[in-house]
Amino acid sequence: MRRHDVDETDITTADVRWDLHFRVKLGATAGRFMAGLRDRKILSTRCGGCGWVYVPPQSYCERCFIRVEEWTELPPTGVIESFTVVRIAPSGGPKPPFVLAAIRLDGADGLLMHVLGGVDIADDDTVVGVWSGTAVEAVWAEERTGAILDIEHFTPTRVADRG
Amino acid sequence: MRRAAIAGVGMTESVAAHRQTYSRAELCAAATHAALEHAGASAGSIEAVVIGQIDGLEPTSVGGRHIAQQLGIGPVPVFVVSCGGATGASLPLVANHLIASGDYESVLCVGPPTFDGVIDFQRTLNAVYAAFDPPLAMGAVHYGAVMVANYQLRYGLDDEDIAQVVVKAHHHAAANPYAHLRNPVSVADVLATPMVATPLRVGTVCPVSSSAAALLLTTTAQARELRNPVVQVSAIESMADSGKPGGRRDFSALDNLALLARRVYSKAGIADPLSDLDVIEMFSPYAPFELMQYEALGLCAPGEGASFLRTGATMAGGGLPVNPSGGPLCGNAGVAAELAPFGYVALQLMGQAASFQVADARRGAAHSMGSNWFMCQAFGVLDLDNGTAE
Repeated sequence: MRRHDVDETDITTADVRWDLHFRVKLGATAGRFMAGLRDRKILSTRCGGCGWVYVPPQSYCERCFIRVEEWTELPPTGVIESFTVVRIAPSGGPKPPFVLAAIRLDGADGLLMHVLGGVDIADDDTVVGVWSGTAVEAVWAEERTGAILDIEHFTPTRVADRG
Repeated sequence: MRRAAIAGVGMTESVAAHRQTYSRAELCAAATHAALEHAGASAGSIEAVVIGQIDGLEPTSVGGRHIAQQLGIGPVPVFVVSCGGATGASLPLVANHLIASGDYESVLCVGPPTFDGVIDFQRTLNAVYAAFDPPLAMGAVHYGAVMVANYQLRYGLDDEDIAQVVVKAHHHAAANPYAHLRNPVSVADVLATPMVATPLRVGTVCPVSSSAAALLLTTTAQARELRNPVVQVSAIESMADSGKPGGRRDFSALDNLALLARRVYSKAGIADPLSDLDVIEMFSPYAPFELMQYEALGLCAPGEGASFLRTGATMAGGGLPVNPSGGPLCGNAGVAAELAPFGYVALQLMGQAASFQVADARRGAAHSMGSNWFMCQAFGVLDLDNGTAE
């Protein structure tokens, strides 16, 4: 290998810290969704071609590649498609352990990611009453700013068999 | 359209990223000159460089372009690729097109290490993802866990089956001098490691490694003048979906990879991958992904990944060895590890395998994937030159 050997007295690192702040443009479609959350509404878009209901809403259909312009409000209820019990996570989010879930809202086709609250995580990582198909509902935050965490979390609904 | 060939492969040894004492440019230069030496080609013969970088994980603003100027090969055009985890396998895709277009005869692909500078990878990635997705403390491993959990909920998948993928990887890597983790492990060892996010444990996810990889691609005619058996790029494509869960019904199948594989197989004239391919190197940073990838690549039916593994077909010595190098579970330096599958398959077809040599390997496939919900996919088929192609 053609390279100089590193001597253990060499200084081979330098600390670099980027403390950068961004204000990312959400755009009109996500912007309307976020405004809806502030008002306790979950807004979706529906493709006029294939009927796919997107939440969070999308402005183009991934399947038909046509513009999606029809807006519908969805109920704050749905079912769990998949979930993971998170034991190790980056700081800045919920404190582990917590449950991260892919949720299909009633009336939606795709999935919405969120955390589950009001559930007990056992030491062996099982979560009683949580499985694929478990019905959940949104719990709204008291103070809402137009962000995904305006939904504090989703929680399993009391009614066992909502169909 | 003329086809490109892989004429040389260069890789550096792999270490834990935080222990790396060489700079990315030094490592890339070492891989470059190893590839040239392997091919028996001169530095002056390189006409263009294709280099990869994953946005957000290195404090640079030029996408790796600065590294290309430090390779010791002179000022040549540089093409930068950045498409998350599919970046590495997209380098030969671009090189292949540059050569097929007739504009270049000899193109160097450089896969730098990705994680050498970043201190908290998952946290940084979470910040990168936050530009697109709501901040829910998700890193790549959490996306991966939700996907695998979905598969597990649908088909059932024992922790032992997941661990068995790791046992196989380590068994293979033990013979690979470029692998980072070369220690043999047992199912019990793997299951004793801490949980990250169910069902993924520390022992079932890739290490954070540092190494560099380089491939020299040339015209088939030029490759025949060089040192190694000629390995042709028969087909290579990449694809991405939107990376948004709102467009997916579930995560239990890698639909984007399945679609891509069908396209690439059709272009390469592969009807039955299980019997037509001799070896596969795939990018499976989380052990259960390998099982889902068997299915997406058409090696077995949906839900049959674990039972296919248990047949032993994908072990060294089996009918279709998968990741005889050990794969990313035994060394993941980012872009370098995404490019490595093409290097490892090329070496197999040259009869110079880095680890277990697959007997009479004439045709192989290589793959990489990544980014939000593993939205980016790249896949290619390589063939040992039979002397007839242009």
